[in-house]
Amino acid sequence: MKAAAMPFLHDLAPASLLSERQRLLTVWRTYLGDYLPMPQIDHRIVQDLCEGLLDAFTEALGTAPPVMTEGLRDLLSALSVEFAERGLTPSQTATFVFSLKHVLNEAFSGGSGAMEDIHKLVDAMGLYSVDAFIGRREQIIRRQSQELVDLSVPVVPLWEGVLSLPIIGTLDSSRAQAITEKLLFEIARSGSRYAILDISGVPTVDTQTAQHLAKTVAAARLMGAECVITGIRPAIAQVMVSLGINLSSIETRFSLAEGLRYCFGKLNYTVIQGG
Amino acid sequence: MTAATPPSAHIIPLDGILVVTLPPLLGDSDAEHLAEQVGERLVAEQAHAVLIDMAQMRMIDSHMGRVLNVMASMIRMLGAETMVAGLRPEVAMTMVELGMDLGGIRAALSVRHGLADLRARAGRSE
Repeated sequence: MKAAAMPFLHDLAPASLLSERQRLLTVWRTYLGDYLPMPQIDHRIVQDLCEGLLDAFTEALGTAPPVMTEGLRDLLSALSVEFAERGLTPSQTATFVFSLKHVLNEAFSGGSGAMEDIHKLVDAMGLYSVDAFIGRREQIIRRQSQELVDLSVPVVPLWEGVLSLPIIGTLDSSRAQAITEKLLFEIARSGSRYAILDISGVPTVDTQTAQHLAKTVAAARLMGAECVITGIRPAIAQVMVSLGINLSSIETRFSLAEGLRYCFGKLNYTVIQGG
Repeated sequence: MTAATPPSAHIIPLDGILVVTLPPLLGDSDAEHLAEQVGERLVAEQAHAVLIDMAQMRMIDSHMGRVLNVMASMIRMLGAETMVAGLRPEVAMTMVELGMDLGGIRAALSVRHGLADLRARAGRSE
């Protein structure tokens, strides 16, 4: 696994690494090109990361015994964040850090016994970066799921006295609870007598989903508001019938427009085309 | 000198409609008396509808639910209509979770909505 170039490092003292800095970086660049292509990241950024990492590593190696310095930790965190945001995997990130070991191995002329400390240090660096990578990704996931919750309960006033609630995505228990709560409070706040629950964005309706909808409608009815369920696709209607789901006590319409037309009828509104 | 008792319901006749305002919490004995009181006032005022204002009620249990159902049946027998008004969202949700319903008693968003509704219906039926 030796590279074509002859080993040029005769000891692993920080001073030697420093004097051979440019050659080490060249070997590293070649190694990465061969074994870890990262098209997602600009090669200049990779170059900067390599330089920074090698310098911080050299500095850390100067401490006795070699341990991770604060600068090294910061650099690895930044590197992991960069990789995570560009969609690289944790193992790619770790492999990038571990590759420093191979670079030094290729460049070093001595026996492998002296590599022991370096192995330990570099491995710890890799594991640390994996932790930072996953931490960052979990942060992104948490933020996205919070955004999803915020987005999932939009109650939109459609007309004076008519609210609409476009439900998008699967209706599980916790979402159904949130939707019911939001809808009832909006009904009370705005004094709306009609609410249109549009389920065109709900992929499938099973018995549980239908139960949630029926509960929402029942609670709104207790408050004096009537609900119309719209956006039931023919395929979903068929599934509901075959599941024995009966929504006959609830007004249902094909489209949101038909639902609005129903509410207008109940409110005694007539829509007239002008001109 | 009487001991402090929880406030009971207020009954106000308003153009042939009895508005019954329930307190935040209604004791069991008060609840039992309620139907009796409402029935007597209904006949005395010759009212055609009873509007039960529940906006202040913070909770409703199955006992209260039964009381309301019994009262609505009695009112129907006396030839009048019952409507509840102003149920809070959390009360409505609790009732649904407990599997309670009001057996087809009509509901209104508020006393104002309920009065308008009952008057419109009375106007139509005359």
